[in-house]
Amino acid sequence: MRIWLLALCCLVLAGCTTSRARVAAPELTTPVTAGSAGLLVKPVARLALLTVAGLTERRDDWSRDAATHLAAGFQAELAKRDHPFNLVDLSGQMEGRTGQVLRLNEAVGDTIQTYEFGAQRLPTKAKGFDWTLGEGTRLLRGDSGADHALFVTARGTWSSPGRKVLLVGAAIIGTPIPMGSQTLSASLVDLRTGRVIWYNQALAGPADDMRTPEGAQALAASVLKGAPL
Amino acid sequence: MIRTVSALALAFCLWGSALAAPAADTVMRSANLRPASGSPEAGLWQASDEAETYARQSADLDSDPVLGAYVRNLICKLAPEYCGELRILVMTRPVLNATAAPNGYVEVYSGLMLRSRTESELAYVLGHEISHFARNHALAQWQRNKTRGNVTLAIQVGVSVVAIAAMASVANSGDFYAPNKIDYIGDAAQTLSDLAYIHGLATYFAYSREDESEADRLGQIRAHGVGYDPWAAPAIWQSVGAEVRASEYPEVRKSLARATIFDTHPLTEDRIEALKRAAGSTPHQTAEESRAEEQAYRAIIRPHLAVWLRDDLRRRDLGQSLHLISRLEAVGEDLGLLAYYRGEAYRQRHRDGDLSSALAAYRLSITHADAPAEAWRELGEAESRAGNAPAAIRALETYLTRAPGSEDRWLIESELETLKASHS
Amino acid sequence: MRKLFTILALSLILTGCASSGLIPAGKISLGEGHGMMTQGSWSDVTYAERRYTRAVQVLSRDGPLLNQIILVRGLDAGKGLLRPADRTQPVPIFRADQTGREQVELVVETLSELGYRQVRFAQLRPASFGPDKAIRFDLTARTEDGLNLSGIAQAARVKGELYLVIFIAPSEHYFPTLKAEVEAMMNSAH
Repeated sequence: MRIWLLALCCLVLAGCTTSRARVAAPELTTPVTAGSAGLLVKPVARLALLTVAGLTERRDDWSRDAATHLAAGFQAELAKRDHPFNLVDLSGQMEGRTGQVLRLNEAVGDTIQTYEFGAQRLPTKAKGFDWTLGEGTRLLRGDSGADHALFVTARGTWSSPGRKVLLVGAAIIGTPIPMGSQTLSASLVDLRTGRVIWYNQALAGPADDMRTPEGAQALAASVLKGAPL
Repeated sequence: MIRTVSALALAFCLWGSALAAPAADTVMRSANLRPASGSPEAGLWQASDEAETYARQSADLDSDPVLGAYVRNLICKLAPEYCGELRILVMTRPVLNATAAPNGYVEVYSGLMLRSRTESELAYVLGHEISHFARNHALAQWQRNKTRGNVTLAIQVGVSVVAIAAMASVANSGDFYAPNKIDYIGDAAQTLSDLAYIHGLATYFAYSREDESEADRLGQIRAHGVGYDPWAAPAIWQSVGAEVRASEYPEVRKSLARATIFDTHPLTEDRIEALKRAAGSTPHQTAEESRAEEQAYRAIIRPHLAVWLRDDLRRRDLGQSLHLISRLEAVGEDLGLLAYYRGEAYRQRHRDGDLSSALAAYRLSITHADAPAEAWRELGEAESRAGNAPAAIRALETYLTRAPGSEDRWLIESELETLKASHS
Repeated sequence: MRKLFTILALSLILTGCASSGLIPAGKISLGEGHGMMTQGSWSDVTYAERRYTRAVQVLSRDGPLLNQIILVRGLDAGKGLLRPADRTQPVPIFRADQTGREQVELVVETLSELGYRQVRFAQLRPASFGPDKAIRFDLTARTEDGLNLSGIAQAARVKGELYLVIFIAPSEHYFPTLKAEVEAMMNSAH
């Protein structure tokens, strides 16, 4: 009896807290065929320096470099997988229905972050990764003929040398101080159906610096691990 | 970084105004500056660029091209040297505010335009914001924050303590997926730090008292230099102070800081006094001049008056709203519309005596040619509440005639039926 | 001992998923003596907004940003859907003598208070809530960052208490997908 209850508890707790695969079930989406064209939406990067006092000081050069390197890194990794993705900048298309689809993409992305990667779970989404933008995504294809779009967002901070010194001092008095960290999220959308086929988020390791071409490509490779591409 | 003295500053001397020109060592930023990549300024610019992109997509952005052109022309008149690099967005937000970001993107809130009595008052506040921009106060403030920088550190340490506690509890839970989950909590902490970052952004624009006083002075000089009344400068700060003191709430009355420009621009009596001293010997406008300027400005904002007043009532500080409506009524125009919103303020406040004040306001409203159709609907509801069925029926029927396609037609028709049935 | 263990285990089961209640298809309560039939299942996401008062329950299928149904299950006069943040920031409240028009206004003002922009009602029409009369209407709004939303709402006052069903979702894809299902739910409300 006791064992049974214990097992039940574990099961229930696991049911509430497990991280599921963030890939849509095969029946929800048409497979991405090799060689099919895709759109890589110009990555957004928000990178900053963490000053001694803990202020985040936006670095335009890092952000710009990372966005460029990530675009190239993702394109290179996708080309390796025989998926040519053309870089597109959709930031000027916020008017009309296209703008609505792009805003909906943000809302869906925020929701996925909350319920697939955060502490909360939606019981109505318990059966598997099943998110969509609806068929409005067809508008994003334009005349590109692309079937898929990949959205990439990076954010993060790096500590200033002064802050690293502070860390040592703080460790002595036992105060935890956040140092820098960088995360990268990517979402692959089927433009014909609007389904989010796959979504991933990675915390960058110390070796993968997205401000360099090599680091950005290495990050792209690790984020794309497990992508149905 | 900024070396050139503004040509305008020299122009002020030539103008021969009563106002002193800026001191010779008051260096203005030169036009069309771009910060060096990798500098803190460049970071500020990039963050401002993003804020601008966001504002352009925002639901609050006013889309009226006429109003946009009016504000843009006014700013170009005040600051011809920056005209080409300032991008103006009018935001429909019911608080008195305007901002000029370091990258040249300017937000002007409808709440400021609603509270300006004349173009001179609006020109002064815009001149004040342009002066923050011209003197690079945002950057100076950021550098001060960086040296002092303690608030954000405290927030971030707080965030990380919470995150670490959460990670520890997950790690100890025996949860199979704990390592993954810890990552997510770390990410959540990152997001919270971003909030601290955004909070930090707001502090960029919380200028020091010295910077505020300087922007007051330079804004007044700038507006007067192109022909605006320098007495408008102390006047708008005074009338805003009076509005805050009319608040329903003692906490608000005591502080000028809530939900106005003074959140980030602390307003003190000595600032108003300094502006009066600076206006000095400049003669006050004659009554006719003042009236002509009020009417000309009212004509500009008239198409937006109804929407802005409705937004103002949403703040649910009816003491302040009623004070504002009185000030707008003093111009002697738009009396039907203003009486309707006075009635709305009383009806929504709903304290003792307010319903009869509302009824009186609606009754007054419909005597003016510019009364909106809704005034008859609300008059009808108020008469019905007061037990005056025949008057209620007349008013509701007038409403349906005046607003034949209204979205609430069915409801009003059914109310009319009930009224008629009980009356006959 | 065994009993204690069972209670502990059960409370773990109950609290383990406290934040993510599943509401299966079928009858759901709208307060004492009132209810509504749902076709599909819903998640309880009331926790997503801390300011909701006790009479409020929020259902969602895909998360509150993508669709939500705000249920108000018998609101007493003098109360609002939201708790005020402090004394100087009052919230819209329900009053016993409110007209039908003011009930619609309460919905619009509450949605505005929740941060939706340009909230407008349209097409007021008659509906029923069991034996009682109700007002049904359409809604449009925008999020702060400019996503257009559509909605349908229904208000009924029964024995001095207010019953609301407010559905709101992005106009792109999510609103049209659920519109018929939600209207059927509202039709079944009594």
